Amino acid sequence: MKQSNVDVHRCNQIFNELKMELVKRSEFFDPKSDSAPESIFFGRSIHELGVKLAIYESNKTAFHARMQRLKLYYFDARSSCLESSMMWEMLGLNLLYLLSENRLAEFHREVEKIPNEQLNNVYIKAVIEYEQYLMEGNYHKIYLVSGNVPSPAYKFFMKSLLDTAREAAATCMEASFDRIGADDARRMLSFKSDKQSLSDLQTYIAKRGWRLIDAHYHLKAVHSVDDSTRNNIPVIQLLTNIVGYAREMEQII
Amino acid sequence: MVPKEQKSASEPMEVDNEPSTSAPTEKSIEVSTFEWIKEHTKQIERSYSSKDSRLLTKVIREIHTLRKKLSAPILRSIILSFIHENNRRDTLLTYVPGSPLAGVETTQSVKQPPVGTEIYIQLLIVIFLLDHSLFPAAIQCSKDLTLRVAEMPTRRTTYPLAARAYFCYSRAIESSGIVFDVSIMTFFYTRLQSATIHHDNSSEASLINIILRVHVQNEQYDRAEALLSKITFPERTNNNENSRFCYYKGRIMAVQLDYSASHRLLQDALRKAPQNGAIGFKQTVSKFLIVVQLLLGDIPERSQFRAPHLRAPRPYLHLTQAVRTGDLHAFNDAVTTYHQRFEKESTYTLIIRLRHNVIKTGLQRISLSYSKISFKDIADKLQLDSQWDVELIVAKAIRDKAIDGSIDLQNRCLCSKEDLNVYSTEEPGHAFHTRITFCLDVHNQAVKAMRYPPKAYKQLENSEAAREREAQELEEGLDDAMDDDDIL
Repeated sequence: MKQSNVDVHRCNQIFNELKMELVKRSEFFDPKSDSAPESIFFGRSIHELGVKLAIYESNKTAFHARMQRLKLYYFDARSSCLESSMMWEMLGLNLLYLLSENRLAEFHREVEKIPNEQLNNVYIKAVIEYEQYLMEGNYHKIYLVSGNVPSPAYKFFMKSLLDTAREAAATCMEASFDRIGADDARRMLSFKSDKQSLSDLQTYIAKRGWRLIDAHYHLKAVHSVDDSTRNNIPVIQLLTNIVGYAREMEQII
Repeated sequence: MVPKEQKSASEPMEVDNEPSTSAPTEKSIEVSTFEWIKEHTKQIERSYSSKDSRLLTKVIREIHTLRKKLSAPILRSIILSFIHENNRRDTLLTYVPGSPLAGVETTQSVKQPPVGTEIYIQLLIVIFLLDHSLFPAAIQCSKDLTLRVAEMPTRRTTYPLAARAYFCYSRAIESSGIVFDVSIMTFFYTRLQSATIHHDNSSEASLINIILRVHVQNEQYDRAEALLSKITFPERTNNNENSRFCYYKGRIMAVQLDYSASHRLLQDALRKAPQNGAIGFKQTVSKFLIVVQLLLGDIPERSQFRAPHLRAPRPYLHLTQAVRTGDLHAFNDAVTTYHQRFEKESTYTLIIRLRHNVIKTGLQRISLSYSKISFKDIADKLQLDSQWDVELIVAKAIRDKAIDGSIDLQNRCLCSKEDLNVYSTEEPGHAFHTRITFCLDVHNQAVKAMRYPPKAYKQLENSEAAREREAQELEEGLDDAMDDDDIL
């Protein structure tokens, strides 16, 4: 996103002034559905601009807070004026944000709110597909489609989504292999083969604690922990259960 | 109860709610209904004086059978008989235009009937209006009733009637298609506050269900979740409200990906629903139950699709078959074919989440059948795009413990581990534990639900009175079990 010609500071100033205007008219907190369509329209446009501004600043908390306000306009005051052209893009952005933060319960609650005919809208459909890929474990696919977002604003969240996907992929790899060849590791973690990415790969692997032994990475073994617990009996859990049964039987008799 | 049923205990214990009429002409049915309502008002008075709420709940239960027999003339005569001039008689009379019942005395007793009687009569009027689809009048009358009830929050004996009143009000609004906007919701929320403060369990339960229903219908799951996190549902209300609450909570949990809780709640909802009625409710709950079971990874049994109350479950059957075989193609087919039906039943959003379940089941079947299979073959079988995607998908499945195996990257294949004797793991312990806790739960709930008649043992009775009382209690018990009651 071209940030060079966007004067973020000045934008913030103007936005704050606009917010104060809304507060003065007491419409900031609750767009009343019986106020004039124009004022709802203006209020909504102001909030949409605020959300876009938060993305330019790469400010996630501001994005979330402003998005909450904007949702009030979209859902509660819906009947009062014409649908905003940016509505689905904004809602899609919100979904993507929730997905990249791994807040899946909220993500699904928000998806429920979207009427079924709009589920094929290009903005919404894209995000739903990302969610499906994440659930399936198809991290490679996410990497492939990450260049192909419906709008430039999505790029900001795609980065964190890719990071989340990569983390998940790494955990899966640790669970499935003991060791993995260097090339395969690079491919599965979705790093490109140029020099910059290779060094990124090295830092990532070092962070996860994998050791390099003659061209193979030895992963932090997750499985072996599993095997040892297979023979152990979870003593505390069993005892708690059995004492519980005894107490209940005592009450009955 | 109709006077006829207070005969000796030797009579066969049949639930017989038909009032005693000599000739079943329409006129005499109306007269007998009138008499029945009069009997109810006497019972309300008795319940007031003895502070026994059971009589009141019995009266309310019988409203269900009574409502089919209501008509404008009957109500008019009732109003004329029981409600005095200064007590809003005229406003009530406007709701039931027409002439009073002929051949029936409408002289009034001198003393003021208790407040409960008035509320009961107004409730009958609201139900009558609802049944005849006179929605604007119903809204007005029920709103009036709820405001009236709100004026007397501490009269404990009006609580069950208040609960019904709220329900009728919300039903009237919903049936007339008015949107539940902020003002109406605020009203319900404040009533809920008041009911909770006064420990009015029945109203509390009724209001919680109303509010949850509005939120779920309008897909405002975040608000529903906010409400759920702040309240505790009163357990000691009647089973129907319990059942409804379980259903709504189950739906909300399902949206939030908490499938095991949702499964448990929906099953509870089915169990607590009345046996002989509420067919529509049971149908809806069953459909959601099937979808949630699929999401959990279990395949619902075929017998569930043959349940007598479940109508036309074919779309769900196709879905289940597609998920069971792990066939993505069939799954997409089923979804596109029955798209409309799923949308209408609000299960669509849950069903599109099933896609990855299909893949998971497919992988499970493959890993069980092959000791070694190449990624390319897996991709073909599961109709995935490329074998490079497969490796990560399989890795994720292994991490989620859906399949037991390991990946061999050199040969690009999946190797399955040998079967482990399941009894050597903790699995049986877990299964036993869930079953034991369930049985203990049922036992404890049954103990709590037992009631003892108040003060009955303190009176000295002769054998005649004792026998009569036992007969009455036995009939009450049968009534409880067999009534398909108050689906109001």
